Amino acid sequence: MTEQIDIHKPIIQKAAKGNAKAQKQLYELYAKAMFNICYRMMNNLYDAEDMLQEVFIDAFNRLESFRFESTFGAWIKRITINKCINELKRKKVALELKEEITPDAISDDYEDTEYTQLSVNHIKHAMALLPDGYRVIFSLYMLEGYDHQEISEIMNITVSTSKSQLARAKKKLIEVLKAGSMQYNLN
Amino acid sequence: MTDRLKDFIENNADGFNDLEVPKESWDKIATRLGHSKKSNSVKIRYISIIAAACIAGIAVFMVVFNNTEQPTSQLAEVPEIVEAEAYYTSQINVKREQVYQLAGGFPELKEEMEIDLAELDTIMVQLKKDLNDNVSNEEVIEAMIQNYRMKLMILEDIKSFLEEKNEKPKNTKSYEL
Repeated sequence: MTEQIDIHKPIIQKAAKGNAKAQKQLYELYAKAMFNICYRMMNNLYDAEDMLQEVFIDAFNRLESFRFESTFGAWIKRITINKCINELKRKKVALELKEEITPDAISDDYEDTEYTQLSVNHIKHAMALLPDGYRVIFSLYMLEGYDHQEISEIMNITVSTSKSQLARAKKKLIEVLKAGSMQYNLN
Repeated sequence: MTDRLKDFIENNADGFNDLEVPKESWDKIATRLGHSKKSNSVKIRYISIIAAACIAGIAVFMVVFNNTEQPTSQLAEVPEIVEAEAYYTSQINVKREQVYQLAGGFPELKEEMEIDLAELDTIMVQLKKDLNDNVSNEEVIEAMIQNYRMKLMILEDIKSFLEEKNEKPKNTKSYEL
């Protein structure tokens, strides 16, 4: 694999040797992005902060093994996702909902959003109300930019399960958004 | 067909990443990485060196400008320092023993602690000499007490750090990247 050009390479190399200042610089560069991922995965601030600490401790302890085959951002993002999924599994959170996969379950629901008022806050609120398995797949695909092949590897599920879970997650989210907008109209 | 929801999220990515990291998070990470304790130790060493320099300066000043011959006094003749020495030495020995028991897995920390304590011992030797010279005894006794307190503070600081470390199991999970 070819080496990726990383503009923070000198900082990463110093941090790998245990340099406290360089480690803090890396933290300042990536903590906010990783904290937001942790929050989406864990669905509460307390667990998100715990995960953030675990991620950076682990990343700094293993930084010497980082070979610049990906960007540091992609590397630490993958550590973050894996840490959160491991923690959710440890807490026995159901990440794969064992529902029968029917063709209509993975049909396009996209047109359903046509008459739905979209706003960042409403979507974030609706995401928080999704079952854990749906929320995790939705976040990985819609916000973290992973495709179904990558999600299947991360979560140890099949590609078709990833697709069907995403479709169901979207459908559920749109239902919540619609219910929310009805509520707003009534109020 | 376009995915309106996905497009909306992509176009408003900043809004989905607006949570700020709690301010104390880095401090917790730095403590677990051992950074803050190390810097504390360095700070203590720095303070000890400055304290030693000040005391030596006072002693030299007093010797040079105080030409009147004074009767010599022995350490054993100053009851408050004898009492304080007995008390602090016993406290320090207890704490040092506790730290030794906890420091099995941290030889570098143990070594650093020994260096700090040795520096304070060197200062104490000089202070005892100053006391015997009967030069500015009040300040010298105060400096001796401070020396003992600093030793106790170093030991207490290291003990708390080791207790915290020993409580937490090492993370051995690996990732497939």
